[in-house]
Amino acid sequence: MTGFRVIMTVTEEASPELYKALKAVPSRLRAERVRTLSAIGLTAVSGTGVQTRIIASGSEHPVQDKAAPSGSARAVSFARSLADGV
Amino acid sequence: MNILGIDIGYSNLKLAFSKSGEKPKTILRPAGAAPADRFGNRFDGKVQADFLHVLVGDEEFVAGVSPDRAEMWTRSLHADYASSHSYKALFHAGLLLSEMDMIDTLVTGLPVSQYLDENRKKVLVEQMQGTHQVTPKRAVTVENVKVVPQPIGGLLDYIAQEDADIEDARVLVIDPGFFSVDWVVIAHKDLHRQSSGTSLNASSVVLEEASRLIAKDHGSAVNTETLENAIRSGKSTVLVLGQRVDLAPYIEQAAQTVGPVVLEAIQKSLRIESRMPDLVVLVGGGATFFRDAVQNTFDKLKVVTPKDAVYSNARGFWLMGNTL
Repeated sequence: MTGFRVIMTVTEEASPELYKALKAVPSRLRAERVRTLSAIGLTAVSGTGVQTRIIASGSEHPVQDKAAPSGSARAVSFARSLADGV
Repeated sequence: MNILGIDIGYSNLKLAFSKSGEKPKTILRPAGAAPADRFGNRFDGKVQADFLHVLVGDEEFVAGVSPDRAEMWTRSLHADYASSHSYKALFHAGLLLSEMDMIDTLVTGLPVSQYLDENRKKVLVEQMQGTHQVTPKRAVTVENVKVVPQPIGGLLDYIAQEDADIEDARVLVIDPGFFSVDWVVIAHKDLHRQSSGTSLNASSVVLEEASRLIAKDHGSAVNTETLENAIRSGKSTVLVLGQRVDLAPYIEQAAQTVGPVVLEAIQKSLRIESRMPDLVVLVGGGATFFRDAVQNTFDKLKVVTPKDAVYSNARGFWLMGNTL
């Protein structure tokens, strides 16, 4: 198995949302929580639109890629919704 | 899958084409087309490099040139343009320029009033679908054809360029072309047919008015094709009896006369709408002629125009082709 160790400090001033999200999680589970949140972030950044299932807080939630479609993708999506009407 | 968006206008032929998933290539050519024997020859006997030679039935046509290059040939400036030989020649020129032998999806537009005529739409689909002998040695097959109201292309192009979220907006799209000014209202992704329409007080009328004004000041009129060519090639002056005349003041004055007439027709058709549009998208080759009139009429609304508005419809048709 390949991997590397990351030691990070999360401060309330620099990352208030992440700080809040991790504060509520027991310290021994925080690393896993960071991995989970990173996976969600990567899905959004990649803009694949693929529905990813993430296990969070002990229950299964479908997480939809919320990344805004690029202009052309948005136009094609709009055209598709118009297509029957025109 | 090969996709072609083709906008056969009265003034320009515009194309956007590519395989699906690839960036489209765009081409603009003047929309002149006439039988080959109506064109003069070069003094050295060589072939004119800018001529596109295509077949219409058995007859050889030259297409994609300035409309005033042909002799003894009347330009088609009427509502039945799509059934004219010039239109067919330009269509074949478009197929030739697309560099494809097989087109899976072709999308084109009609003026709104013609689009609402189901029969006219059906005839155009039948005309464009199938295998076309565009030159003696070249045939191009078109599998599927979709015809949309002209301004829809411009709207899709605007959404793509600006990544605009207009899903819940009421949008008025105005498309001033050479022969007609078309407009549509789109609200919640529905085309409001009753509020959409066509006016014939289009760019050609602006140019005729400009020509009349030039004649008044300089003693001789300039034909609309000369003005059209000057604008197409970005020239700011035209020659009138040997004297250089600045075009801008005359175009501006002509647009001030013609613009409000069109805007009145648009406002009239919007009366049945329950509320005003949220946004006005101004597209097409004649967008600059009508911009002031549109902004003055809808002074509280944002009026936007996509970049390179002359290509808007073709690029939007290509986007529509990606959905089929």
